[in-house]
Amino acid sequence: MEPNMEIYVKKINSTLLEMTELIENIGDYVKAALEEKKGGLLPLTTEMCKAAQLKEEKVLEICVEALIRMQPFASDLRTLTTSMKVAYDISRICRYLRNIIEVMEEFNISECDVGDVLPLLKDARAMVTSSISSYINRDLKTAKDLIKADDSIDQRYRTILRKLATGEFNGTCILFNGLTARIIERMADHACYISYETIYLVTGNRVEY
Amino acid sequence: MSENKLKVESLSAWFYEKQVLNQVSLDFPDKKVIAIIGPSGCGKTTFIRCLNRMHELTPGAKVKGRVVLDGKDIYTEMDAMEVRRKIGMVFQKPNPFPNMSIYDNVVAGLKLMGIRDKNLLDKVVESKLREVGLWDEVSDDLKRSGAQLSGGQQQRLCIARALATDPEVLLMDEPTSSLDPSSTAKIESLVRVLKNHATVIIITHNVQQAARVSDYTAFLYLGDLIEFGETKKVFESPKNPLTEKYVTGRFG
Repeated sequence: MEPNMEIYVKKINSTLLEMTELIENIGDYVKAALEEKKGGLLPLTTEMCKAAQLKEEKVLEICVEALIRMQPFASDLRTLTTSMKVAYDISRICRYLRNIIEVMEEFNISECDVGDVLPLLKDARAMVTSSISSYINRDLKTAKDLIKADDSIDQRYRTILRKLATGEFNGTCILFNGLTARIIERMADHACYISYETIYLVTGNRVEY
Repeated sequence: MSENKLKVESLSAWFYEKQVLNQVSLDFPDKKVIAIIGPSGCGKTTFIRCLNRMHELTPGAKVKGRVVLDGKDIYTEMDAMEVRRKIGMVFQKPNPFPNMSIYDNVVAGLKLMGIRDKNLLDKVVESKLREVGLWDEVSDDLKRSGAQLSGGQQQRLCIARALATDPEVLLMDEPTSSLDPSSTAKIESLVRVLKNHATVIIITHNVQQAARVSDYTAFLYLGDLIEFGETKKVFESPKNPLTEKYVTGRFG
């Protein structure tokens, strides 16, 4: 017979995967909006983020029930405490993606070159998907690799800022690209936080950020 | 870790030819609660019975190694009575002396030591029954038989009896296994208070209880000490895969 804890873990992982699907869909909308430089997606992405938040609350409920019923220890306990954090991180990433749409609503970016932020978004999204997958699969190596990869995102973010500060761009494009790059950089940070949780889940040791 | 009260060095124990403890070494810090956990038959009870020389009372029992209380080997430098006065014990099932009153149960150990001063005995009875939270429940009739109390009250009476000689170490062998949740909660609260005066070593099958009451936890398996450490660490991130499996209920 399957141990009860495994039933809770399955429920948690399945909800985390549903959240992942939601942020992948929102990410596709954001990418398309940036490529086409078109707004109008705020209501849809807001609804999708609310759905992600409900799923975050569902993960919390499952974890609280498992804590009460199973009173778990060791890796079982770490599974629950890390799941709550990972669910929060995914929900937060969802809101960052929505923030990009919000920024697009504020500015007319039809004349802006988004050639630097689009690849940054692509790589940050890949980090997010990979971090969640490595968490669910307890993949320590990928989690460690992702933390290293975040340095490259940070470096590219700073390069974009320097370029915006020294190049000849109009004010709207400077603001838009600067804000968007910052939001994407924060998304990648949360992918890293998920990787830190994976390391703690697998090894039992916390790594300092 | 605070100063060590009790040191166990390469302790092995046998029943006839069967070895039940295998070179266990462990330092017990002073005025802390230490839980001993492990599956049935792993040697927990034998281990703590070696700590106050009760193991040697069993036919066919043999002990090798050292148990050192405040620098003195309890097997070679102390007599058994002195050891058992300094290292008290509470058993799994409450076992008040059935033919004795509540009062006489508490002072039984003191009388055995030859103490007869009525005033002193009265004071000990009141203070120890207060310490275990039983005074308000029984003070109106201390002549009543201890056997007439409820299971939880009987266990607290046994703890009061063990405390009467002011032991420096208190051994508790699954003290709540036969008690209801309310009585268990009272004993657990008491354990947390007792560590102000003594080092408490408690055997429990209930890993949740070990996590609730202890400062340090030792995990025994097939007579070997597998892991010993701060309770939070043992239950959050055990070092040994066997401990991990045991505390998550994957075996035992």
